[in-house]
Amino acid sequence: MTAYSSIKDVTPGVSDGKVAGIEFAAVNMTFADGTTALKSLDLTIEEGEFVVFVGPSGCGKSTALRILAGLEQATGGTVAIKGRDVTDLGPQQRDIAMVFQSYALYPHKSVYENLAYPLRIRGLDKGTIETAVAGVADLLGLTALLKRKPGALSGGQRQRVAMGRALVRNPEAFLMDEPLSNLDAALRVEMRGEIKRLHRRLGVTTVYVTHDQVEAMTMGDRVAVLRGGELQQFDAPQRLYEQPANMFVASFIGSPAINLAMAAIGAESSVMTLAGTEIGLPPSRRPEGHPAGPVMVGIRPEAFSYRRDLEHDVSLTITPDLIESLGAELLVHFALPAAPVPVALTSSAKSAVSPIALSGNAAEMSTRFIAKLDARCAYAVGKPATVWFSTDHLMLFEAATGRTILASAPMIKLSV
Amino acid sequence: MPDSTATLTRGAVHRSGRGGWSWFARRYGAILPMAPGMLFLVVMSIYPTIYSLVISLFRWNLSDPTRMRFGGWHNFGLLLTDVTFWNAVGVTFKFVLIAVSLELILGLAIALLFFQRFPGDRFLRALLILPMVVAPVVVGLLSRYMLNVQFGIITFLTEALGLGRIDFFGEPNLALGTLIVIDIWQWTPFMFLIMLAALQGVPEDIIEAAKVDGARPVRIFFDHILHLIRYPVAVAVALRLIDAFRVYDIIFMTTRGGPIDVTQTLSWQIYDAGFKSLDIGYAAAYSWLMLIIVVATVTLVLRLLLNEQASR
Repeated sequence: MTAYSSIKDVTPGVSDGKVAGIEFAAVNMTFADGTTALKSLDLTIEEGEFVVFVGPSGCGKSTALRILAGLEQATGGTVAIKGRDVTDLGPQQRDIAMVFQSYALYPHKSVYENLAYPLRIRGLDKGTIETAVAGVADLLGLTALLKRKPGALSGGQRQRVAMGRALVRNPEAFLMDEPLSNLDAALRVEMRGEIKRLHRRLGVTTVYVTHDQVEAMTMGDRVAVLRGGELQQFDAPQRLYEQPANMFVASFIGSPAINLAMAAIGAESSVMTLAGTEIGLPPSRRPEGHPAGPVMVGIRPEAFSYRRDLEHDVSLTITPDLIESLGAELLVHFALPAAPVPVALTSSAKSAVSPIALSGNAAEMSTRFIAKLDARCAYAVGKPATVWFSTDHLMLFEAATGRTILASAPMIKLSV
Repeated sequence: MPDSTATLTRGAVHRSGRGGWSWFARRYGAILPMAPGMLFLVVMSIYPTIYSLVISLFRWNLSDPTRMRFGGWHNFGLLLTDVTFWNAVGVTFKFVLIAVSLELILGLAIALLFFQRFPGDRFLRALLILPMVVAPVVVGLLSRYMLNVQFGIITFLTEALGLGRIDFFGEPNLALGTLIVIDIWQWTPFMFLIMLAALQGVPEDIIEAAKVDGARPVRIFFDHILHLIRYPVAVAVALRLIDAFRVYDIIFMTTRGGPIDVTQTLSWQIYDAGFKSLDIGYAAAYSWLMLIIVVATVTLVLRLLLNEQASR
């Protein structure tokens, strides 16, 4: 590249001499009816990376994917694929392959014709097409189905054909729009693994859209969490879980969802009051410089333990009101006498206020908590008990904005 | 267990056995509300159909209504050796096939145009549909005046353009073509409406998938859209075929079969035989032959439209 290379040659996707697979730069999207689907999305996806866009419905994840595919024209910003500005190109010129949620197979064409179609469009000769289709059919176990029409296939088989149609040519990127959401749970888990294996084998940049945080966590090299058209956090799954940028990400990632409640930071930032209990904060968890007053605290259900050990040294006395068994673990539900956090800042659609609190003494606010405990614990519904948690596992968020207070949190260790 | 089942069944049979008002109501009750409709159908449709088949086998001219002689296949034999019958078959096919295929192509083209929204499209769409709501007789009357070689507005225009006076209905080379154009004017809106509805039914994701696969609009149209709308197309074509075969009103108002015999269609000839020559037996046979031709043609066209597409 010469010193006089144009801006276009330099700006999109080139950083540290490495070409980005896909780059969104300040992409905005406002539909004709005035709804804003994306607000200034900046995102750089490395070449060969598997990135998942996740968020609740209406968060803009599908819109972002459709803009990337060229099916939707962004109202602002640029999109680049492998350093090439594709903002104004149609889907035909972008050299991407897409798997649709509905699969969008051509109903009037056989499986073979469906798979061969992208190659036919490119005017490849018959022999090459046959070899390529046979290869993909073999890879996905479709060889016996080549003569069938999509109408005669099961959901899983259709999904494979849709995958095959994307795989048959070597595109610059794979785009997948909730490709597994029409499959039953068992098949979904199976295909999840298969897609990951395929990605490892082919190494093609993949953008995968889902509303399912489990899918996002298990499949993505990195996960982009979106909400209301805004990128909340773009990080590796483990970091999303351990160091959520804000309360929305914290509550969206993880199942059962993180426990959230209002707490108060004392005049010294080393002490926090939660549910009337004063808790000393370890140095890593101290919100240095944060004024005394309300904060929001998050404790993952996995951060609780039924017994005291070196790590789990803060106790809470609880009365379980529901115990669900998962086999190896129990989900112990209890109400904590602390004010619930504002629902608007979380991913939850329902109120976090305990129904018991509503029906009982209204003045005494309480929040629903879940602890995921080892099944060996001998808790019973209605019987007061003690649970232990580690202050190293606490997450603190600003009361007004929901943003994380702690700059960097240590790695969390699962208690069970 | 099997014992109790058997008892139950026997009980049921016993209860629904013959006799009693409830048995009668259950068995024949449905007939009562259906009766008026059925009666209407029998009187207005089934009886005349059978009657026309019967009289097609008779030599019967209404100029002497009492003389009705059984002729067997006489009328049909006469028809099949009649030059004017074969001329009418030729004229009708020319009219039907050219008019309907042009209506289909035009209707589809306009529908594709209207498929993309543009300002004022609703108003224009309403305007486009207007010809369809005009009675064919009125269309015939209007075109007779507009194309009148003495004082018609079209004649005025052709003269202004330096083409001279053109006798659209009197010129043997032009008469059938003029009728076809009138039919296209009136019935393209019908095709347009059905095609537009069909296009709106094409799943968008399939079009998008084809785009991502690299297909350009023309390719997408021929590879996918045409296949996906074949059922609505077949229905519209069948309806239009049946309708075009019956063309009569416009001819009655304009050419009346002329000049010479170039616009003598099957239905015109049937009218001619039945109500001018009063040869009712002959006209009945004529209409039965026409029915066979229409059914055969529509079946063939539908098979071509649906099977050819499906096997590809």
